[in-house]
This record gives sequence, C-alpha cells and structure tokens, in this order.
Amino acid sequence: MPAKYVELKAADVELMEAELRTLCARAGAEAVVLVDLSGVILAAHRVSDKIDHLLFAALLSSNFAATEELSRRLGVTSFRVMYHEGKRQNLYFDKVTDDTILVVLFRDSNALGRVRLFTEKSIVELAKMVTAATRPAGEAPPLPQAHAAAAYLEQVAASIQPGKL
Amino acid sequence: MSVHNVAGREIVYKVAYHGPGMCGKTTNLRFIYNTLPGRQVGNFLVLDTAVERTLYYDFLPVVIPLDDDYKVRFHLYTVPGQAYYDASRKLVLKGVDGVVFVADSRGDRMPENEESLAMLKRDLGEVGLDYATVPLVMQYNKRDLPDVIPTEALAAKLNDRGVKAFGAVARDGVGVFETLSGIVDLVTGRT
Amino acid sequence: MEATIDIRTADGNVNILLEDKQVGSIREVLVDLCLSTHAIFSMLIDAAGRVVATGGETKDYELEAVAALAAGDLATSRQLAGMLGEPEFSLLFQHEKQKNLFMTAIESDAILIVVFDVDTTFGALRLRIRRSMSQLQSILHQARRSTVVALSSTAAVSSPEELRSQEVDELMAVRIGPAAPAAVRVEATPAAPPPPAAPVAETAAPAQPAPVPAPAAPPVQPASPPPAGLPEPLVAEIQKALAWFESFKGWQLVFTDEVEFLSRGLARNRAEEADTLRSIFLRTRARLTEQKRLLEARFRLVQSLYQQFVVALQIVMSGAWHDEIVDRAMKAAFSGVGSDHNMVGGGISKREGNWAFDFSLIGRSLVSVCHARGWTYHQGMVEVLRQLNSALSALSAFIIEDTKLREELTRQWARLYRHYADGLKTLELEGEVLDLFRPLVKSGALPK
Repeated sequence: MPAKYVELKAADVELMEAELRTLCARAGAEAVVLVDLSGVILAAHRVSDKIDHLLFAALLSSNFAATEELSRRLGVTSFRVMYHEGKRQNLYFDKVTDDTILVVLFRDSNALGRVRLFTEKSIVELAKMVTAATRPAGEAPPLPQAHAAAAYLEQVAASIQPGKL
Repeated sequence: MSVHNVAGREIVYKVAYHGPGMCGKTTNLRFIYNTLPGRQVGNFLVLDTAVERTLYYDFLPVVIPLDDDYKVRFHLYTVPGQAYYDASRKLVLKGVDGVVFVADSRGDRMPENEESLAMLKRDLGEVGLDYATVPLVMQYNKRDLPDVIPTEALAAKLNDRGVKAFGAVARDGVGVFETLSGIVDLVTGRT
Repeated sequence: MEATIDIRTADGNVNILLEDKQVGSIREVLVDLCLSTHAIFSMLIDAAGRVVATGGETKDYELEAVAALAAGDLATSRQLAGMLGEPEFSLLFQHEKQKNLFMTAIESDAILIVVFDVDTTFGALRLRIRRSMSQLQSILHQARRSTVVALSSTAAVSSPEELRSQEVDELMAVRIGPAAPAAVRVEATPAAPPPPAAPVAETAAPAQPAPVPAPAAPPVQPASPPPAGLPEPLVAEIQKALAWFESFKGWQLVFTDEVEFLSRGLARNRAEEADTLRSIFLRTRARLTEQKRLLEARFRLVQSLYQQFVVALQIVMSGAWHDEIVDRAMKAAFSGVGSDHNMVGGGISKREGNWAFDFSLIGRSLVSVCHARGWTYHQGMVEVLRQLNSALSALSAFIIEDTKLREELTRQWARLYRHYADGLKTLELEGEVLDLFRPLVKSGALPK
C-alpha cells in the first residue's frame, strides 16, 4: 500500500469546519476535533487556545491507537468508538476513516446518547470529505523549495561544531 | 501520512526514530529541543517509566519556516526500544513519512541492533508501509565509547538498503542535526 | 509472586513493594469482581505496564501486550486529562457485538482493567466496580505506607550494579578543604580520579536524561552553621555523607561505627578534632568504594552463575518435556520460594521462548527489601542466593522421578560450580554457596 497524503484546500477546511460546527451545536458539545492517526489535526472547532493543539492531537490519536490495538488483542475486530469519562469533561471518540478519528469534548455525561447519535451522522459526511482530500503520495505536488528545510538544519549542525564525526 | 494545508501554507510530516532500547533516540530529540530556538519547537512530550525508559513514545514538533511564508512542520517521535513494549511500538509508526534508525555502535549491542531492525521491517509492514521504500536514514550513535565497532562493520550488518548514515554522539549533539537534515531532505525532496 | 509498582510522586520516584499476601488480596478482589459482574477477566497492572495480578479467565489473551498497551493508554489519557484540567479519565469502550472494556487508574499509578462480554450492561455494574476499586485502593495505600521510602534517590531503586552511582561518585570527588596535611592528601588521591569510562552511556554528563540526584538532596539535614569549630567544607561534606547513609540504610549498617563517630564529631564541632574527622571520613569513603565494588562483583558473579544455570536447565528439561511442563515447573519453583520477601520471583520471565533472569528487577527488590528489613546489602545478597537455591531445589524435586534428568542436572550444576569456584572464593561467597552445595557434595557429584 503506497503512502498517502492529505491535501486540504481552503474550501475543504471550510466544509469540514462547518460540519464540526453543526455537530457541536446539535450535540451540545464544547469542542470537536478531527484528527488523523499520524497525530495531526485536520480540522477543529472551538478547541481552546490555552491547549497546545499539536500535543492534543498527538495524544488523542495515540490514545485511540493504543486502545484500538488493546481491544484487538482482546479479540475485538471492529473497534470504532471509545469514551473517556472525567469529572467535568468527557471525550468521545469515533472513527471516521481507517486513518482519522473524530473527538468530541462535552460536559454533561448524561448527554452521551445525544453525542453518539449526532456524531454518527456527521461521520458519514466527514468520511466523504476526508476521502476526497486523500491522495496517493506520488501525486503530491513538489514542495516549494524542496531542500530548503534540510539546508537550514545543515546550517544548525555546522553552527554547533565545525567538524563532523 | 503528510498533511498539506494549502490554505494555511503549511505541511506536516511525521518522522519516527527507531532503534533498540537505550540507543539514544530520546537523547536525539532532547538535543534538538534544547538547541533550536523556542519558536521552532513545541512542547516536548516524554512518556516514560519511573526509570526513564520510553513507555510509549516521545513527541517533539519542529517547525521550519521557509522563505515564501510556507512552513514545514516535522512531528518527531521516538518508539520504545524495550522488547516489553512491542505491542505499542508499531502504533507509533502509523502514518510515518520517514524513519531514522538509531543504532548503538558498541560491538556487544549488535544483536539488539539487528533485532530492532527486524522489528522495524515487520512493524512497518503491519501499518501498511514498506521498509524497502520508506524514506530512511541511519544513525550510528555513541561513537565516543571505547568499544565501538567501525562504521563499515555497522553498515555491513545494518544498512542493507545503502541509505545515508551518520555517525553521532547524541548526548553531545554530534550528528544529531546532520541526521535530522538527512531525513528531512529525503522526506521533503520526495514530494 | 512479588511485584513492585512504580509510582511517580512530587518528591521523586517511589516504589511500592507488595508482599505475597498483599498480592494475594489483590487477586482475591479481582477474582471476586469477575464472579460478581460476570466479567471475563480483570487485571491490575502498574504504570510501566507490568502485570501485578489477574482474576478470571485469562489464558486466551496476551496479557503482557495488553498491559503494555494499557500503560501507554493511561500515560496518554493522563496527559489529556492534565491538559483539560481534569484529575483523571477513566476509559470505557463498548461494542455491541463484541467485548466491553473498562479501564481506570488506582492510587496514582496502578491500572485496573476489566473485560466484559457483550451481554453485560455496564451501568448496572458501576457500583460494584467502584467497590472493588476502593478495596484495591486501600490495599495499595497500606502497602505504600509500610514500605520504607528512599528519599530523592532513584539510585535506591536501581540494581546494585547501579549502586556505583552518581551519588557516591560525587562523594568520592569531593574536595575536603584547604591546608590538608600531607598524609591526608596522599589518601585522597586514589579516590579523586573521575569515574571510569564505563562502556555504559550513563556517565555524568549535563545533557544526560539520567536524573542527577544532587539538586534533589534530601532535605533531612539541618544546615547548622558551626560557630567557630570545624571548617565549613569539612562539615558540609560530612553532612552530605551522613545524609547519604541515612537514605542507604543498608550501607549504614555496614559502617555503623564510622557513621556514629562522624555524627558525634559533627555535633561536638571542635576545631581541634578536624584532622581526625577528616581522616576517618576519607577512610570511610575509601572503604565504602571498595565494599561497593565487592558487592557489585558478587552480584555479577551470582548473575552469571544463575543465568548460565537457567540456560543449562532449560536445555536439559526441554529435551525431555513439553514447553508447558517446563513453564509450569519454572513458575512454581520461583514463585513458591516460601518467604514473605520473595526477591527472585519477580525476576524470572520468559522472553522469546527462553527463560531468563532479569537481574535488574531482582536488584531492585533487593534494595527495597534491605531497607524494609534493616539488612545490610550483603545479608540481602545471601538471602537472594538462598531463595535462588530454594527455587532450584524445588525444580530438582519436580524432576526427581526422572533419574536421567536429575543426573544431567547435577552434572551441569557441578560443572558450573567448578567453573566459578575461584571467583566465589575471592569474593568471600564461598562459605554461603558451599553450604548450599552440601547436598551435591554428599551425593558425590562435587569433588570437595
């Protein structure tokens, strides 16, 4: 299976965010985020700026991945949803595609049923959007200044110590 | 898998540092975190046990601004080296765009190096990637120790793909950025 | 089987040592939980992913993998909880057609996992699970209280090999102060050289991830400035040394006289005693280094001896038996060592089809037990030997019917012993080990 990449144009992001907004309102949630299982946020709605978004995404995806694998070891073959219950906030996870998950942050644990219901509906739409935005790696356009990043790091290396090992 | 946010003018890649236990993967990331200016690194997450063995992964986001306002982000991860955490290790490789294999240069650690490499091949397969084609560089770490074997010998046993390899003393920072530059080059140049 | 739970608290790293009966109690709670909730199985693991105890039917599952993953799960969900300002999350997943899982943290760093079949409705069981959780909580809480805590030293929970640690090295590298008489200067020189460039990456380097204990020095010592008595640097170093002994009680017992002398000298605080105190301090330091090397060497020797024996044992046994019989025998022998401070049980495990000793685990148990029992490390080592031997005797008993196996085993054991006889003599272990070998000597397998 070749590697993939996700290309998000402005329009794609808008569509996704609109869907997340709708879900958030209907489910009465605090925030919603669409995360790729390699740990990257694809779209988010109302995730507080006080939170480190990069860390948040990495943790959400790795948390889900660990539980998914754990459940596989227990004989569960179609793991899809997961629920973290806290004192004041709760996290509900649902799989969108094989590589993406949707996470809903909500306060009232009694609203779980509602959250589940509306999430299921949103998932269908989001899955289409994500799939449309996913391409095989071979099709990716060349990165502007492809080697500039590497060159920058070479500079850092040289500035630390003149000689190499 | 990489994510190109065209509107936001940034691309995110995922790179994993792989290798046997205590070979220096976390040390690499720590040095990067300590060296790059604050606006180029994010918070460094370390998930380890009480005796500082990586339990699941370490995570360090690095961002490199390019000239025309485009940003390249690298999400650097390390995998747990200990055999006990086999089950979690492959999860860290999900959607990875590039791999750095860190080997311990000491002669008596060769079995661990080889075993770890074998596991890398297997784990990549299990997450839908192919060892033969994934962007890969090697780092031969701990070059400063007295009982290391020559890099040619390490290469002969480990570098079966003939990829770029870098000698390193990660705890002093030697070779750390060269290695990172190497994998970044492969990963970005590829697209 | 004894287990240690890694707990990270604000002061540093603390281990909880569970005694056999506590592990037994935990097991009872888990079994009980399964029975009353019709759960398939439940288990308690530590934050590092090691299985402490299980209840219910676990044979169909790879427990170690589940435990390692659950630990990763907990670590990440902890971070998430922290980010969102929550104290803790507990995890639940349900699947209509397959299994349901409940997971939660207990008493800081143990994790309870309960796996249900699809027919169970979780809501009804919440209360029952909560009850088990609080039972487990109180067992762990009590265990923590009765464990002697080594303050601010991760070295305390590392193996005796790591006893050659930064703390003592710092002690060794200390400068006593100006105007030291010539005699003392000569004494100081052998101790001064930097720690040997050991082929281990953990030598003191600032960028090292390994914790440097010095900044977190135990706050126990009152910083009493001497009025006009002993020179300050000397006082500081002696105070540091005394604090060190305070947290390494095993060593303090070896150097009781010296420690007493030094603390009394410090209390009297008379300038004229400075030279004597200095000389005693340096002598103690030198002897300590020597003793530590000795202990380390002993430990390594025992390690080699038993490691080889385990391999030989396995070869001998697996030739004649099925793997599962070998497994059962090994498990039975090592967990049934029969004392309430089983140090070796936790250290034996199967990796990739082979049984092996994890001596770092045994080392950790050794240090904790010595502290808890007030033993010297040497006493602890002897006890480890005794336990290992008891396990091996149990194994021999297991295969006593098979004469051929028994003979082969005896031959292997004797061969190994002869190989190590000289080493054992030099390190003064010969006496203890010889005692343990008496049965073999009697049977004529050994020359002595």
